[in-house]
Amino acid sequence: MTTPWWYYVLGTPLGILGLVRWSLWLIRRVPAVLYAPAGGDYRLPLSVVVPVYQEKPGIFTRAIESWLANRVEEIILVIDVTDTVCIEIARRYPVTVITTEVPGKRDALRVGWNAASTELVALVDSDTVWAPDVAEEVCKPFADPRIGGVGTRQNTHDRQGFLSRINDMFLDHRYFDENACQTRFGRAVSCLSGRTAIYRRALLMEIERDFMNETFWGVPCLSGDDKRLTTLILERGHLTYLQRTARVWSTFPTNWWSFVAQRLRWARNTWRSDLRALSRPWVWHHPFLAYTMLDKAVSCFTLLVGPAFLTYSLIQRNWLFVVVLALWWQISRSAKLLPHLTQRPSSFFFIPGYVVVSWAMALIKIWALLTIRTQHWLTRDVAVQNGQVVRTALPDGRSS
Amino acid sequence: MTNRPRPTRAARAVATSALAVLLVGMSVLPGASTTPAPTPAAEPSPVTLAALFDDNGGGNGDPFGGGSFGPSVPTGPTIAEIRAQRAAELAARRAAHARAIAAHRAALAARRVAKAQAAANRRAAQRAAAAASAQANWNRTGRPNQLVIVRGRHIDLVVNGRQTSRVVRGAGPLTLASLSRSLPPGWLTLPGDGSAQLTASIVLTAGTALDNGPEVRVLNLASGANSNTAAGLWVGRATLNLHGLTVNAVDPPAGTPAATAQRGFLVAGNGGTLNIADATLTNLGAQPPAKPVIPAGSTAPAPAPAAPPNGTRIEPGIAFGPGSTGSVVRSTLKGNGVGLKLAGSRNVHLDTVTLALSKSDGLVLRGDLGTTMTAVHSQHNAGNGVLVSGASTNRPISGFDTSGNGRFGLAVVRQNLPQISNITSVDDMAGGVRLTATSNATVTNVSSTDSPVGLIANGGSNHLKLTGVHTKGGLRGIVATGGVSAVEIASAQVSGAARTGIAVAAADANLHQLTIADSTTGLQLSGRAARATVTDARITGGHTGVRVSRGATAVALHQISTDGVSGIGISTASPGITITNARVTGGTTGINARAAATITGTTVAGVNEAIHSGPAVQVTGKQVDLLAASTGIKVDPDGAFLLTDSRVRAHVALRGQVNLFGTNTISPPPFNWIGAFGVLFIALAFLLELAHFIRQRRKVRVVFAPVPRSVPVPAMRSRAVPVEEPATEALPILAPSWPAEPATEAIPVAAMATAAPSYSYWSDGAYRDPAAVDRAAPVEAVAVETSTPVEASAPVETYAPVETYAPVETYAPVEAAAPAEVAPADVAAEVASVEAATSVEAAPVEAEADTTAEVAPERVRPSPRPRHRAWKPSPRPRPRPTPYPRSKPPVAAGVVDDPSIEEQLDTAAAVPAASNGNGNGSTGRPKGHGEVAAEASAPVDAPNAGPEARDHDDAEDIRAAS
Repeated sequence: MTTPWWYYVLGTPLGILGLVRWSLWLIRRVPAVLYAPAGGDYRLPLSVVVPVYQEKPGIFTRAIESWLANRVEEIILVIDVTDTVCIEIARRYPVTVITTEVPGKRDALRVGWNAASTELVALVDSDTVWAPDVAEEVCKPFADPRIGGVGTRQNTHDRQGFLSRINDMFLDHRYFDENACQTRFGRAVSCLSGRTAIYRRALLMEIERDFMNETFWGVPCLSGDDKRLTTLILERGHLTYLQRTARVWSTFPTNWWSFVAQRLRWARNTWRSDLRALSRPWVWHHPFLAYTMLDKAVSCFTLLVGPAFLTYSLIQRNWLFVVVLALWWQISRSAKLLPHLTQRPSSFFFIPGYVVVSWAMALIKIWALLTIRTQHWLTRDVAVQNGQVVRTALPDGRSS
Repeated sequence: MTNRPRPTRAARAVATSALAVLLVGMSVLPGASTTPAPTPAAEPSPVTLAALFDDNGGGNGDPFGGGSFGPSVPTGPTIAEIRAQRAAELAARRAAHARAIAAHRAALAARRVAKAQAAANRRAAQRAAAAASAQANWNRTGRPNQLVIVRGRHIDLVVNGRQTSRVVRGAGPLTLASLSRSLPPGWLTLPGDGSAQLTASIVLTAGTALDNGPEVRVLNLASGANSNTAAGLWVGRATLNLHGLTVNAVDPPAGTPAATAQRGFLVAGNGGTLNIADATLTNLGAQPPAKPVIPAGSTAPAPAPAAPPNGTRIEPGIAFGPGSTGSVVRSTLKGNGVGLKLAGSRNVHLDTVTLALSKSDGLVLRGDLGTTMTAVHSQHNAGNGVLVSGASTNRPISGFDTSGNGRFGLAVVRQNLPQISNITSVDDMAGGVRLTATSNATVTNVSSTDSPVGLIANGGSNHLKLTGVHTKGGLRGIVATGGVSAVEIASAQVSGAARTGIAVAAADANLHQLTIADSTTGLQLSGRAARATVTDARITGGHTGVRVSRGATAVALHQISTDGVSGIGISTASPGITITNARVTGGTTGINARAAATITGTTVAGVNEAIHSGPAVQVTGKQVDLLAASTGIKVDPDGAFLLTDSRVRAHVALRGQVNLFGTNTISPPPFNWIGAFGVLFIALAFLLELAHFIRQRRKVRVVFAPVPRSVPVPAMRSRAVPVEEPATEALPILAPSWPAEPATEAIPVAAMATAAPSYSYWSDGAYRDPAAVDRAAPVEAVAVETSTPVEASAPVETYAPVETYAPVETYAPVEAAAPAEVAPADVAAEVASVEAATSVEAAPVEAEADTTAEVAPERVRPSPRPRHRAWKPSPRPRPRPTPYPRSKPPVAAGVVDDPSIEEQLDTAAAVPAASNGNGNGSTGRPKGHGEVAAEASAPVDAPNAGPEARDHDDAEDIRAAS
C-alpha cells in the first residue's frame, strides 16, 4: 500500500508551537488587512521640530527641502553646538535654528516643541525625507480629538545593499502588520517612530516633565524618546494612529555593528517601555495593545526553537529534514511578507537572509533583556552619568 | 640481641678430653708423668709410728707381739734398717709425688696446648665461616665490589668477595651516620649537608636494624654497569626504616649503556622488614631485560631470558622478596626500573603511594600474600600500571588507579579467583584492564576512560564475571575475544567508543543490563560467540545498535532498545537468532536480517525502513508494530517474510514476498494534521493579502464624523497664557460650550535657552498638573468608500472662512509709537458688521460647515526670508495656541482697545497659520502698519472646528504690537 499524494503536499513541518505562532499572526493580520488610513481634509497648523546631531550634510539638505516642500508653518532645527556644518547648512534655508549645548535628544526635542507655536508639532529626525503630502496627511487623523499622536510609514532611503533590503522588509512588516492592526483595533499604536511623529503640542507640554525625568529602575533614561512619548500619550487616555498614506524615508545602518547597536538599543527601549506598561492598569484598557506587547515579548524566545531544530538536524545529518525546514521557512515567511513582496518581488530572494537576521535579532532581544538597565546610545557619544546626560566624546574624537 | 660466639664442637671436644685426662691423671697417678712409673715395690705393711714406738707389742696386732715390756728378743730389722727403710720409702714417696706433680704439670701444659690449638682451630673455623658467609652474601647480593655486612656485634667489610676486616660495633640499631664511622672512607660518605653517598652495598643480617637517622635526608646510591658497582641495600632478617628521605640513584658513569645499567636498589629478603614512609625514591633499579619476541605463529616455547653474567643481578629497584614484609606509606617511587615489586611478600601495606615513570611496570604483584593497597597511583609507567602474575593468591586487587601507562592499567595474567574491584584507569595506552588466561575472576566497579579498550579478556580466560564496568571513550569498551568462555557482563556502561561498545566473541556469554551510548556499533557478537544471550540492553546513538555476525550461533536478544542510531538498529547475519520485545527507534533501517530470524513483540518506529529481510532468507515476525517513513517490510528476492498479528504503517507497507497470517493492519503512516494547518495558513495569507490589495485599490479611508454640539468636546490642556480681558460688554460674546479653563500662570519663556545641563525647566515651580480630561465624548468615525480616487496629495489651499470674518488685514499689528486712532464711525460700522457676523455664527456648527464652500480671496504670501538666531527669550510671555477656541482672545501688547480688532478676534473663525515659509508660523510678517499679512494655507473646514476656533498665531500679533 502506498501513500496518497496529499500526504506529501500537506506534510509541512509545522508543530504545535508553529500552530500557535501562526494563529497569533492571524489575529494580527486580519485587522491589519482591515486597516484604512484617515481621510477627509482636516488640517491644522504644523511645526516641524528636528534635533540635529552630526548629520550628514547631503541627507540633511534633502530632508530640509522636503519639509519645506510640505509648506509647514515653521521648521525649528535644534542643532548641537558642535555641529557647525549643519548649522551652516540650516542658515541657507528659511528655518528657525536653535543651537544647544545640552547633550541628548530629549532636551533638544523639548526645546524644539517649546519654541513651536502651532497646534501640531512634528518630531522629525534630521535624516528623514518627507513626501510632499506628509503634512497634509498627518493632520487628518487629528480630526478625532482623542488622537494625541500620529505616525507615518517609513522606508529606507537607500534601498541597495543587503542590510538596507532587510531593514526595508522589517519596516514594511511593521507598518503593514503590527502598527496597522494596532490602529485598526483600538487606535493604540505602541510606538510612533521618532523619525516622524506628530503630536498635539499641548499634550507635549503636558507630558514634558514625565518625559524629561524618565527613569527605569533608578537609572535615568537616555534613549527611547519616541517610545516614551507614545506611552505617555496613551497613558493619559489619548489615542495614537498610523497614517500610512504619509510616507517618509530615512537612513538605516549599512554596517553590521551599527545595525546590531541600533537594534540592541531599540530592544532595550522596547523592553523597558513594554514591561512598565504591562505593569500598569492603563494598558489593559487597550487589550489589543497589551496583546501585541505580550506577543512581542514571547516571540523572541519562540523564534529560536526553529534554528534549534535546524541545528539538531544538521548535527544528526538529517539532510531531508533540513531541506524541508528551509523550504518551509522560505514559503511561510514569504506569505507573511506578502505586503512587501507585492511591492518588491525581488525581496523573495532575501527571505533566507531575513530569516537569519530575525534569529539574530531574537538573540539581541534576549541580550537586551539581560542588560535592560544599560543606558548607552551606542551610536552617539552620549551617556548617562550620575543622573545627567553627558557627552562621552567630542565629534572630533576627543574625550569630553 | 647480641650473639656471643659459640665454641665449636671440636673445641669443646678437645677441652673435654683434656680435662678428662687431667682428672684421670690426678686420680690415678699423683705424679703421673710420661715416663712409665716404676713398679712400686711391695708395699711394706704400713708401719705406724705408734707401732714403732709401741713396746708392748701393741696387743693384738702388735707387730712386735708386745703386750708387755720385757726384754724381747729382736727378731726383725733394726732401727737403722727401719729408718733406712723408712727413709727410702719416704724418698720413694717424695719421688712419686714429684713425679705426679711433674705429670700434672705436664698434663696442664698439654691441656693448655690443646686449648690453644682448639682456640686456634675455632678461630680458624670462625674465620672460615665468616669468609664463607661473606662470600655467600657477596654472591647473593650480586657480587658488589664493596659489601658491608652488618651483624649483631660486627660489621664485616668485604671487598671483591673477600672479607677484609671485621669491625666491632655496639649493640642496638644502627644509623647511616654511625655506620659510616665504621666503614672505610668513600664507602658511605656524609658531607654534613644532610646527604649521604653510598657506594657500597649493605647487607643487614638477622637481628640488625638500620635507620636513615636524622642526619641524612638525601641518600644517593651509586650506579654502574651492573650490580658489581651499584649500591644496594639488602634486608635479611633485619629491619630497614627509611622515613622523610629522598633516595636517589646517581647516574652511572659515562658510557654505560642505559638499557643495562644497574642503579642503586633496595631489596627486602626472607624475613626482612622494609618500611618506607614519607620518602621519595627515584631512579632506582635496572630496566628489566626485554622479553624475547616470539615470531607470530611459532609454537616454540618462549626462551628464558638470559642470566646476567658473572653472577651479577638485575634488580628492579625496590623489591619485597619472598617472606619479607613492610610498608610503603605516603611515598613516591619514580623512575625506577620497576616501581615496586612484591614477589612472595607477606602482608605488605601500601598507602598513598605514587608509582610513576618506571621503566617497566609500576607495581608488580607476584605471589604476594596479604597485600593491602589504599590510594595507590600508578602513572605514566612504561609498562603496565599494575601487573599481577605468578602464583595465585587471595589478596584483593583493588585500591589503586592508573593513568597514562604505556601498556595496560591493570594486567592480570594467569590468575585464578582474582578479586578485582574499585579500579580506575585513565588514558592508559594499551587499555584499562587486561585479563589474560585468568579464571574465575570477579571484576567489580572498574572504570576506564580514554583507553583504546576499556577491559579485555583474552588468552583463554573463562568464568569471568564483570559487573559495573564503566568505559568511556577509546576504541572499544569491553572486549571478550575468541577463546574466552563463560563470561558474564552485567550493569555495564559504555559510552563514546569509536568502534564498538561491547564486542563479544566468547562462547556462553551472558550480557544483561547494558547501557551503551554514542558508540559506532553498540553491541557486537562475532567470531565464535555461541549461545550468547543479551537481555535488557539500551543502546543510544551511534551508527549500528546491535550487530550479530554469521559465526555467532544460538543468539538470543531480549528487550533490546536502540534509540537514535543513524544507521541500522539491529543487524543480524546469525542464523536462528531470536529477537524478542525489542524496540528500535530512529535510523535508516530498523532490523536488517541477513539470516533466518524470529522477531517477536518488537516495535520499530521513526525509521526509513522498518525491516529488511535478505535474499533467500525466511524471517518470521509475530506481533510486531512497524512505523516507517518509507517502507515497512522489504523482502529481497527469494526471501520470505511470515507476518502474524502485526501492524505495519509506512508509505510502502510491504514490498516483496510477505505472507500474512492472523490479523494484520497494513496502512499508511499517521497523517500530520498539524502540518496540514501550515498549508491552510499559507492559503489564508494569500487571501488576506488579496483582500488588502483590493482595499488599497479602492482607497478605503476612515473619515471622522463631526462631533454633535450637545456633546462636550473634551478640551486639551494647554499652557494658555492668561490675557487681559478688556471690557467687552458691547461685543456679543458667544457662550462657550466647553468648560472654562482655569487660569494658568504664564511660564517664563526665558527659562528656555541654551542652558547648562543642570537647568531645570520646572525650577520656577509654575507647573501645575492638569485636571482630568473628560474624554467621554465619542467621535464617530465612518469608513467611507470612495469610488473616485481622492487627490490626497493635492494641497487643499482653499478654505472657506466665514463671510462675516474680517479680512486678515485687520490682524496687522499696530505699532506702539503710533497710537491707534479709530474713528468711532468706523468702529460702529465694524461693530455692526461683527454683530451680523455673530448672528450668523450662532447657528449650529453643521450650518457653519455649509458656509465653508466659499473661497476666500487668495492672499499674497511674502517671500521667505531666512531667519536664524540663537534662542533668546522673548521679553513677554507668549500665548500658547490651543486646539479649541478660548473664551478670550489674546490681546497683543501695545494694542489699544480697538473694537474692530477685538471683534475680529472674537468672531473670526479659525484662521490657519500661514505656511509661508517665513519660519515663524505666523499669519504674516509684521511689515508695518496696514501691511497685508500672509494668509494661512490650511483649510478651516475641519468638521469640529467651530467659529471660535482660531489657529492664528498670537505671537505675530505680539511682535506686531511691539
